[in-house]
Amino acid sequence: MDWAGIRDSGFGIRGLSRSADLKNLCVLCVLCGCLVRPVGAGAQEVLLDRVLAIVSGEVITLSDVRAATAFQLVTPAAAGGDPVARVVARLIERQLILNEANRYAAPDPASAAIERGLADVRQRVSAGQAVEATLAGTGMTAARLRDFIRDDLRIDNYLDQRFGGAAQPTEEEVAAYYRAHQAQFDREGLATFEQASPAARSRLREERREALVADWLERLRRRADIRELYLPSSKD
Amino acid sequence: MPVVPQKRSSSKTQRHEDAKAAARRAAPSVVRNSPSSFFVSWCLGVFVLHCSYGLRAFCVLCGLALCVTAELSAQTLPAGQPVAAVVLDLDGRALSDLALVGLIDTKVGQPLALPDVRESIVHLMGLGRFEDVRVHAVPDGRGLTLRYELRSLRTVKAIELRGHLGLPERELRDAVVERFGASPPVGRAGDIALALREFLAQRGFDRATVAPRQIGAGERSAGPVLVMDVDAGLRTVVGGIAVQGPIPRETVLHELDVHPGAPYDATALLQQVDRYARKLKADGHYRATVESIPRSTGDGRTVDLAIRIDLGPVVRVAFEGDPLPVEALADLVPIARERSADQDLLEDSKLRLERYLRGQGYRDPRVDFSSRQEDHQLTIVFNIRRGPRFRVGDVRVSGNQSLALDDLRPSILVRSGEPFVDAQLESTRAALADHYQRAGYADVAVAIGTSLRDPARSASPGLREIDVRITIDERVRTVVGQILIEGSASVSEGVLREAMLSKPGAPFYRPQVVRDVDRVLLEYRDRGYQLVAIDPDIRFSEDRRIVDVRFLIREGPQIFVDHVLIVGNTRTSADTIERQLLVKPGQPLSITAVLESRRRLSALGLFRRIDITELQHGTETRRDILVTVEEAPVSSFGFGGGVEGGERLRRTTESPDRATERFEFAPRGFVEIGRRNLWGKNRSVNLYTRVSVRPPAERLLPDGETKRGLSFREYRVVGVFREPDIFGTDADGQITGVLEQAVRSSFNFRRRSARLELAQRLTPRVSVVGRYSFDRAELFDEQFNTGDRLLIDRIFPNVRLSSIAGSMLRDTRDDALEPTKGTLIGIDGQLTARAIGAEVGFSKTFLQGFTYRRLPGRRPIVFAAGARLGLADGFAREVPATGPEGTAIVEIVEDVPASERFFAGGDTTVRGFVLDRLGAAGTIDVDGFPRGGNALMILNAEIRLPVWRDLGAVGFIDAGNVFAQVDDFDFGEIRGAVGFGLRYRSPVGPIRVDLGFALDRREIGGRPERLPVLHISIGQAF
Repeated sequence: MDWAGIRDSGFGIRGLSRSADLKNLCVLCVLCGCLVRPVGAGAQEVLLDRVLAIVSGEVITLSDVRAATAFQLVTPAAAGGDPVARVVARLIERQLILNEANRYAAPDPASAAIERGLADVRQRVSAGQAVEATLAGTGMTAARLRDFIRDDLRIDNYLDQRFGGAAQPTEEEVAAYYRAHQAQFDREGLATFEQASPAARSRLREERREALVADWLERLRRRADIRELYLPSSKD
Repeated sequence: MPVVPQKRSSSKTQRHEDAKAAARRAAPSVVRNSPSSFFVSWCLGVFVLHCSYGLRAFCVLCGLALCVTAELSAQTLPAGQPVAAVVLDLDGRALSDLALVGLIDTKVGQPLALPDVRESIVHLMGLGRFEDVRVHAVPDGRGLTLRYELRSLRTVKAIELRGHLGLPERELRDAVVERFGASPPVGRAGDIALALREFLAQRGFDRATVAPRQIGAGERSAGPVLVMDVDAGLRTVVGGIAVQGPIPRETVLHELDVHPGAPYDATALLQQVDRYARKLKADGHYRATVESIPRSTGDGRTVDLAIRIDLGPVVRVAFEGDPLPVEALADLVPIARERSADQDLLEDSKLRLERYLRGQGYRDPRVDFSSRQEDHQLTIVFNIRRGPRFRVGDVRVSGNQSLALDDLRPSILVRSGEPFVDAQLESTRAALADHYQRAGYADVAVAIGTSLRDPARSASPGLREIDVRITIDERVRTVVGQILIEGSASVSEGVLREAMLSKPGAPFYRPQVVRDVDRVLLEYRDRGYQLVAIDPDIRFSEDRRIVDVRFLIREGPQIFVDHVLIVGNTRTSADTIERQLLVKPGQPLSITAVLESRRRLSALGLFRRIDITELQHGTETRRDILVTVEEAPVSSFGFGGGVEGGERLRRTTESPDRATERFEFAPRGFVEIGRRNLWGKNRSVNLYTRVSVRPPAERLLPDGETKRGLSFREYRVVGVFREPDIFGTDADGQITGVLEQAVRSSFNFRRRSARLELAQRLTPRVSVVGRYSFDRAELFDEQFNTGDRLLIDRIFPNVRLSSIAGSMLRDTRDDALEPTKGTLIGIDGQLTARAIGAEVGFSKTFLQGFTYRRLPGRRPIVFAAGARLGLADGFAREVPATGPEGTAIVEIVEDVPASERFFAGGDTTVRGFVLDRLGAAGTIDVDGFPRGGNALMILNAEIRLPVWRDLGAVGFIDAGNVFAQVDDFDFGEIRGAVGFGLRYRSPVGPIRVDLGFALDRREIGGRPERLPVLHISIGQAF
């Protein structure tokens, strides 16, 4: 950051120490952020919805992000500071995988599984009335929410089918994993290999699966036609 | 839906508005602050100034969090408020496109539902015309004004590469165009820059920078120019080169075209490495490998190369043991062809050899291969032991009580006397089982046993014979009992049962149930039930004589077409496309309708590419149908030339009193110009011109010389205007003007004609045509003997004809040029009458039928047969004339004009005769020139068989004749011809050479008919 430039930028806070600059910069962030936005905003115009990304022709909108956030349908990506961008990144990944699942005609899950998924979502959002209000407020419909959960289950099945087998560790690998993480298992009270073996196997399988999926996703990303229209404020 | 136009801003104001819009876009929040919230924020800021550092930091974080979470806040969105107006703006300008307005689901007067906003965005984006769509709401006193802000999907007008490119511009441009096309979307500028950097890095410029920018972005009529500012930087050079292997270093460097200090180009080096490896393999080193390993030096400016060459031995293939044909070995052991001797190829070759031998009757062949290394040569030796050859002896079938042996015989693929092939036993078993299962014997068991016949009993000493015993255990015959359908709520049982092939009481055949499932699935899918699932449940009775089939149907949701979006049509009107679409908004989404729509659009001939895709959005039960077309060029230009050769009748100076057959070549050429899709309505106009030069009839000039040479004797100019779906009907209209001059055997004629046609396709295979034509035909260069000249030709050498005609055609051929199956049946009727403007009247009927069948067997042998019958009758007309003594008399003309009479003989009719030279009494004059007749019959039969690659042969029998009048028709006068010919399948159609022999050679014009007759032309005879 060009501190000198900011000191000389004519905001009237000159001759202060570096520490004072920092403090005042923080204040300016708050003040200017609030000041500038209403000036540019015009007369109470509200952005209802917009396109944030297009993944092989499938549109991801701001309302999708709102709904995914409100219903906690996705876990925002870890990297990056912008919450919208983090959710968009996850929705893009989801769409890439869903396209593959559709391409291979992944079967529909059982109705009961979908109902369980819906119940989980309702529980997360709390009371039933709140769910309806959240639906109305986010541009989501009950049918689309159901489709979303159904597709999530299809995605899970598809990933299990595709990567489940490859991620299965051998006994030697489980033992090696245990040895590498023995201290951690000890802390968890799993003192012997026999005790720790199921957990070690499960963790190793999960780590491998994640690595395989991540690698596969990266390749999908390179092949796919993805247009990201939502650029965090520094770029847009 | 009202569309409120926006005022257009001046350029300065526009820029200001653009800047404001950009500022609005830059704000991460979507909820604009009200003045009161601004005041609160300001107070908060003043408060923060007086806080401690930690608290200030906390406040800053809270402020930032407020900003970003506001983006996701839904509580302040005005859902439920009434929509007062909907406006569209495209790139900042008001838009009132009704087609776009129709795609918007937020309707004026209705409460705002956010799902409708999203739906509208999906519809609009589905068009593929927009880069971005944003929807804003502005509250006013009446409710909300919704503003749909559309941004065009802009493609760049041109790509400019500037700066230090490092490589020739064309190479960089080709790399961009190959991957992104000539006019990529503006939004892909970043990807293009990245691709260029990667391309340059591959070519040795690994520190290249590429920065994209646009110029002319403000122009709305055309896309911007995308400028790529390239700084290739210094190119990496080749440092040291280490060569490992048996080939001298200098040779390797020369072959790879690389030397120290040369620019490093990874792509080119890789190509050279591949080329050199192929060269070594071509020299017999099938196992040669060439490898180049680059390694960057510390300074990053040079690359050291390690080149490793493993030459491997020269590979030779040898065969030992029993001999096989050399041609077969080349195919079965393709080591030399593939320049490879890897283990897989050797194993495959061994298996191929054994399979080949088994197919020849060698039941137990043994093929081994081994390698012998001597010095630098590796010899792969295939040792072939054919073993004894076996032939099928007796084939006996037992146990067939219900089906006669003759019925089963086509399924028995092992035949007595043929080479014994083990694989045919299994094929026979499967074919027989299937035969029985089709008859309802679901549990039939077919066993095939073999026994080696005692050599003493063998019919051919030296050949071993194997007797084959086929034992059939028919077991019980099962018939279909009940067909139960469960779960069909939306489609009536009657419809489903109608679709099924299985019927109660009919033999049970399990594969038929599978087909029934498919047919029921199609019924459902054509009604929009795309997710329908059908499980058949088959239950046998205890004695297995009756089976009940239950179809369990899970219909799933019915899917309807929401919108039909048409994109990509720039010249073609949407109406023209919509007319061909069978998928309509509001109707169930039918699979068949989608496929048929695609076929119909394709049949228009207007588009190079057609995609019909479904766009899912919103609920599961609605789909948008996106029809994307890429228009073909509207103008077409074609030209060509060729030579026609055939026997012609001529009067020559040597024998001016009779027709002489002479083989003539006639060079010809054509030019065709067309323009399609006029006014976007699929109208078309075409102009076709063809000219031929022929030698004229020989004439003795005053100086005693004979005039020979070529002159323009034939031409044809045809102009056609076509109007599809004329007057809103399904019929196509066509106006045709023809100007022609043509050469016949006995006369030449000029004709000017105009035709008006209405054609309608009743089914994909059947079409009808109604036609009115107005012609003027003039005869000249008549060769008829004066005494034999027909009255009509004397009185009306220049005749005006006005005709109405109708025809029906049924065409089920699989290919118009070279059919192998199907039929063609045509009926044509014509009435020419004075009442509608003709000078003479007649009626004419022409019937034709052709059938094509592929004969059983592995070779594609086609049997073709055809019959043609033509009948014409002139209406009597009285014509005043002058008698031999100068008296006025009345002549009665009742013949058909020469240009409308039938002729026979030639390459497309009866091939044992010269063109037009076949005719019964009264149709050929005393000099041997044909006059034509009013009745015609032609019969053809032909066997077409492939010989080698594109070369084929035919054998044919033709028969037919022409009769002066319909009453003269006599089957006893039908004349026959046989012959054979060759066909060469060329890109322009089969080139044909036929040699025909008349079966009963006669004398015409005082000379015997020519024998044989040679025909050379393009296209099949019929």
